[in-house]
Amino acid sequence: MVITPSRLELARRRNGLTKNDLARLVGVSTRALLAYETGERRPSAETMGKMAEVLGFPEAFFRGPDLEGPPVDAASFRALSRLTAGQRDRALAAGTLALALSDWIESRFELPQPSVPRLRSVDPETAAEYVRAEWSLAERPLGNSIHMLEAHGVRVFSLAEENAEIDAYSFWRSGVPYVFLNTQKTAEHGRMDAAHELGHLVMHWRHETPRGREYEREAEAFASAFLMPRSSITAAAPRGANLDGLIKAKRRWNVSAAALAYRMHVLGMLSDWQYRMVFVELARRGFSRSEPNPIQRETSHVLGAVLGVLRDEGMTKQAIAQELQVPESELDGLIFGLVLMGLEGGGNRSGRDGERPDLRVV
Amino acid sequence: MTSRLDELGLSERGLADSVRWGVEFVFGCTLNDPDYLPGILGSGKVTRAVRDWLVPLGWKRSKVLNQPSTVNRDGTVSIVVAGGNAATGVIGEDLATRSAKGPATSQAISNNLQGSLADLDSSVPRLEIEAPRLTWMLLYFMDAEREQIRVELSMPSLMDANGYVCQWSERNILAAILFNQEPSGVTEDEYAEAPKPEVVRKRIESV
Repeated sequence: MVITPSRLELARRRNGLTKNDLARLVGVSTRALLAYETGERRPSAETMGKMAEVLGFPEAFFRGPDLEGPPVDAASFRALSRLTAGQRDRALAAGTLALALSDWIESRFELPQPSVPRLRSVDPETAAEYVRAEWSLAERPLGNSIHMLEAHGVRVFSLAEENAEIDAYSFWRSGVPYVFLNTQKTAEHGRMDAAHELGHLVMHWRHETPRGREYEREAEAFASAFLMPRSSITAAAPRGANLDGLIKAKRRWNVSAAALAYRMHVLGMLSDWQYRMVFVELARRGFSRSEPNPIQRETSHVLGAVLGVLRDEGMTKQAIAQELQVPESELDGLIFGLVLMGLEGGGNRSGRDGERPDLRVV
Repeated sequence: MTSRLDELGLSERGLADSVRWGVEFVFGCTLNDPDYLPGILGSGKVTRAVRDWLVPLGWKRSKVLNQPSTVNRDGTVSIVVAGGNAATGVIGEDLATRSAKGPATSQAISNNLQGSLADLDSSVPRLEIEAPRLTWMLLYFMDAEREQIRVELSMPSLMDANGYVCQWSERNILAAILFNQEPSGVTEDEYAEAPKPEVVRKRIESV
């Protein structure tokens, strides 16, 4: 039967399977599978049925047009060295499905136009100040970081991964910035990730490769400066504070205690010793993976609003998945942690505080 | 108190800022630092901060019998920095220095008493002698339990047999400096929130 070879490869990668793995599970030779993926041969209807079952995608998915994926070189992964190729491919395959969802949404909704500056040869501190000035944020602590990105045209999705090695990644496609966040991290971690990816979008937009540690350090510095502007920290952070002081103070900027300590150290407000002791104390108190005095998780306004409108029109999540020809679980993965509403049945409609999104039908 | 500070050419803000700046160095000390270091570091750095503030205003660095002080332009006021006990900054408690003091403090107290007597005995014609130098102690106490630093500018008038200053002819208590302070409340308005972007349906789909 006629299939789109790239879709078979995509579904296999999304499942984290090698060609050998899939061939074995389906009961065909690796050579045959390779031929299906290159388009040299077509699978029989029976084989296709087995492949669809193993991969968990509806058969219709394999007959759709080619899907555009995130550019591998453009996607910025932190901890790249710790990622296996399979893990990376799985995440990128989710990115491909996210782009399909994004295109589907954009064909039905007018979304904010991108207004993320793209800068050349600027240090992270200056870049962060520039973006703040462009977005008229002054030195104020940032509210919901995801709303801020979305308001400036960034399309934000959830990493449909339970892979702790991947915090987030981002890329530009046709002038539109995309950010994928691991929504299973702490809320503070998520804000830092969002700002980190914004740093990549602003400073590293020219798709240079390889993306090394230096780029990551720049994005880290950008995130730190963006969320905690120098003058705001020097004016309001507690000087000489110990961990308890940081835990209280961090809520002003809605960052982690560790992130505040890092920024204060960079700005010369914590000595090397104090900085180290903050981390020793965090570990001692068991805050290596959780966050003391945590903030509320941030959610997406755009995804919440879009899904709310669709639901009002009677379109269920299952129906959206069917239109996209993807498993419902994939759709869940892409919005996981970003949308509070239940798509079917009760629950909040909007992304925040039960307030209805400001929408109008044209 | 403000009038007294004005009279001395000082300000509460300047004194508090000096203590706050100097004490930061003490926060950096750990159990691995020698026992004597926090005390020396604190009073040393607060002294430095006082001088950083006052020397540009015409005050002078001074040292009498190895005791560092900061002296005003005409030499009538001297400020010495010292750690105080838990009564520092608390009215009615028995204030004393945290450590024993030496001959420089003893001499300063003697001068203070002479100055006081000269004030009292105003009927006696003044001799043409150099104006007495009055020494004030800038005392601070770091109260870990209450998360505050208490500060006062007080005039020593008696040392006990062990060398601790235990009586004061005047105490000027400053507002306590809070550390680990909850950042001054940020209201919702102060946060930079993105305007909720409009998500507009392109067309009405049949349902």
